[in-house]
Amino acid sequence: MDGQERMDRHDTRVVSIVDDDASLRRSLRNLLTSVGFRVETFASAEDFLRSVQHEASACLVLDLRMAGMSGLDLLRHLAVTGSRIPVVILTAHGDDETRQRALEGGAVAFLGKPFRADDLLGAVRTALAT
Amino acid sequence: METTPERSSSSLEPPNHVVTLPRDTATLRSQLRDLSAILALPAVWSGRDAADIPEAVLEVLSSMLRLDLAYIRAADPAGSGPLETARVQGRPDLRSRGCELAGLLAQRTTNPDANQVLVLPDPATGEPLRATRIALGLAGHTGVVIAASRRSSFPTPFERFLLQSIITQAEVALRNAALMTALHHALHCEQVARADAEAANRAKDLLNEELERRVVERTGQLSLVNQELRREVAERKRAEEALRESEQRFRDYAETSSDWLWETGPDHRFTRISRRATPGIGEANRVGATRWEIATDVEEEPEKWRVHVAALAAHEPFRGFMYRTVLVDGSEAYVATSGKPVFDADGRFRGYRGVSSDVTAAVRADQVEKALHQSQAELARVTRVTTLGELAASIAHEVNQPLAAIGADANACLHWLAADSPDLDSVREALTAIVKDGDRAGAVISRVRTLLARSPVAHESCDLIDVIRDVLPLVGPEIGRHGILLEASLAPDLPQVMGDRTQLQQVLLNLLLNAVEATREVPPVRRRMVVRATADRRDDGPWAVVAVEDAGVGFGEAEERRLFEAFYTTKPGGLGMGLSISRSIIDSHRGRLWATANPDHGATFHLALPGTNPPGSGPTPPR
Repeated sequence: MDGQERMDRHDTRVVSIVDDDASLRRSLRNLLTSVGFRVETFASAEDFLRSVQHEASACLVLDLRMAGMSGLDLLRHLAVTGSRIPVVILTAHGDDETRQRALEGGAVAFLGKPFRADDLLGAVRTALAT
Repeated sequence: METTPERSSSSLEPPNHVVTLPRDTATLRSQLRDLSAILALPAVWSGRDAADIPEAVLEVLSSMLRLDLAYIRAADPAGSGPLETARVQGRPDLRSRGCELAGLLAQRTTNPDANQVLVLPDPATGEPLRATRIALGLAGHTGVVIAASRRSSFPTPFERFLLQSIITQAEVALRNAALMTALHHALHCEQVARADAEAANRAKDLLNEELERRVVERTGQLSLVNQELRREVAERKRAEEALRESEQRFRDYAETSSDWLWETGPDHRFTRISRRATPGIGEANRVGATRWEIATDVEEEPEKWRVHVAALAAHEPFRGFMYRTVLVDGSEAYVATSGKPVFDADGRFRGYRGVSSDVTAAVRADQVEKALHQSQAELARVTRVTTLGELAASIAHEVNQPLAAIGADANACLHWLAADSPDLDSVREALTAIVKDGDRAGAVISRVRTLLARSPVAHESCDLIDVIRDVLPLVGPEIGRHGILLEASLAPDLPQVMGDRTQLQQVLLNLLLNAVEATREVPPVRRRMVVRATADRRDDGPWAVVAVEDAGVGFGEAEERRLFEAFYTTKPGGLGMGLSISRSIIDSHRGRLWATANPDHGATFHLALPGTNPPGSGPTPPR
């Protein structure tokens, strides 16, 4: 892990987090920055799309259920617009149908809340590696 | 003055009682005129009063016989004093003197000779006058006439004759006057008598009329008294009949009623118990026993019986005392009894008198109702559990979110602490966030536990704003999951209400989930909900009104009538108990729950609850 963490510390790519729960945004930022990632957080899919950063994001950690544009809507939008950002889905509603739709929509990982921190970090690293 | 009677000297004059005819015709004619005049005197004097006649006589005598003094005194035929007057020729002022001189002569010369000539002095000159005296007398009328003249021939026989004739006419006139007076008197008396008689007749008539009136009046009074007596007799008969009917009625009531009447003596033992339509219960056939001897709950409820016996000992009335007893068939029955103490005329306590009724059915119904309430509460709880089941995903989300955050923060802390120079500030901040998220998850669990608890229905002061804030976190994720925009408009002056907080949470939860259900399938632009809490100041006090408004699918007219029916649902797999239970909960809070269709889209569900101030008022639900 130490080696992996060191690797993360030298990784200058940005991981974007889109979640309407402020507490979760803050804790995800803590987790990812604690292992060396650069992190940007957004409270909604619309905020993410409006940001000039979103094109530069190397990975997107996305909540599914949000007011306004949902995570799946954003996923579809990215696919339609030809974005190649790898997306890790985090959701508290991890039913099989949703998982299937998310993976079909281009998500590289699908994690249910609460999640194991290592699983998330692993998924992000995997996404960054793609 | 002195009168000198002078005897007519026969030697000097011929006897003057013989009237000789005059030799000349002139004298004869004059004498005939005088005689004619004398004959006319009665007609002239007719109708005069007796008092006027002497004066008239003297006037005729004086003028016809050329007298110097004439005097007359006559008894008044009317019975008063004698009439007396005199006439002095040419000297009316000497009338009294004439009267005096002639009166004296008349007194002294009672019954003189007819032809005797008397002498008396002239009242004017004192010269001797030749006088003659003539007595008046006819049928009891007495009097005297003195005629005097200075003529030496006086009186001649013819003058005597004239004098006598005039006197005779005077007597007749006086007599006639007396008769007229008597006649007038008699007529007057007759008139008076007639008037008296008429007055008497009128008085008699009046008396008769008065008597008749009194008789009529008395007869009327007697008739009225008679009618009154008859009415009283009839009234008394009716009263007696009514009393008999009343007695029979109450006897019938007592015998046909499910209640029965009883009396106890000073020792509180039954002395009389009325017959009942359904004999066999409790106090029936228990004459001689006390109430507590036939009751079967004395040992179970000693305090109730202690209070009752104390009331009896204090001779106080009691109402609705309920106890359990057994029927003759051994089954249990409940009796409610009321009684009042009876005292005799001396104020001595004689026992109690009262009425009892079999309330077994009511008690059983009450027990059933209590069981029903318990069942309803249990049903409400089950419905809550069902509702929470529908919310399981949302609740899981609400718990998982902080748990996920806690996990992430904890791992971040581990990473920071493992570094060569730990970032302790970040660790402290993350740990603070962990505590906060732990509380957040705990609060959700606590709310769920409350809703799931099998706790008795409470009746306490509640703030509906707090109730709304309890529920929104549970339903919020569900709202967000369907992309529904929720707006809350909560008035700060909402009155407190009395009720069970959990049940009120359940109602609000149900309304909010129904709104989500109705909204989640409509186009995104209509996916909005409003929770509005307002204070409604009404005449009967403040009300708290909460409205849940959505722009969802709404309901049709047919659905509107059935919305609150049990087991009516439009949701696939729904129980149809949510609104039915919600309404029964609000009803039990003396409130009102109703629904209205919105003008454009969706529906609004309103719940209104009476505020706790002013206390004790019975408000009317707003419509």
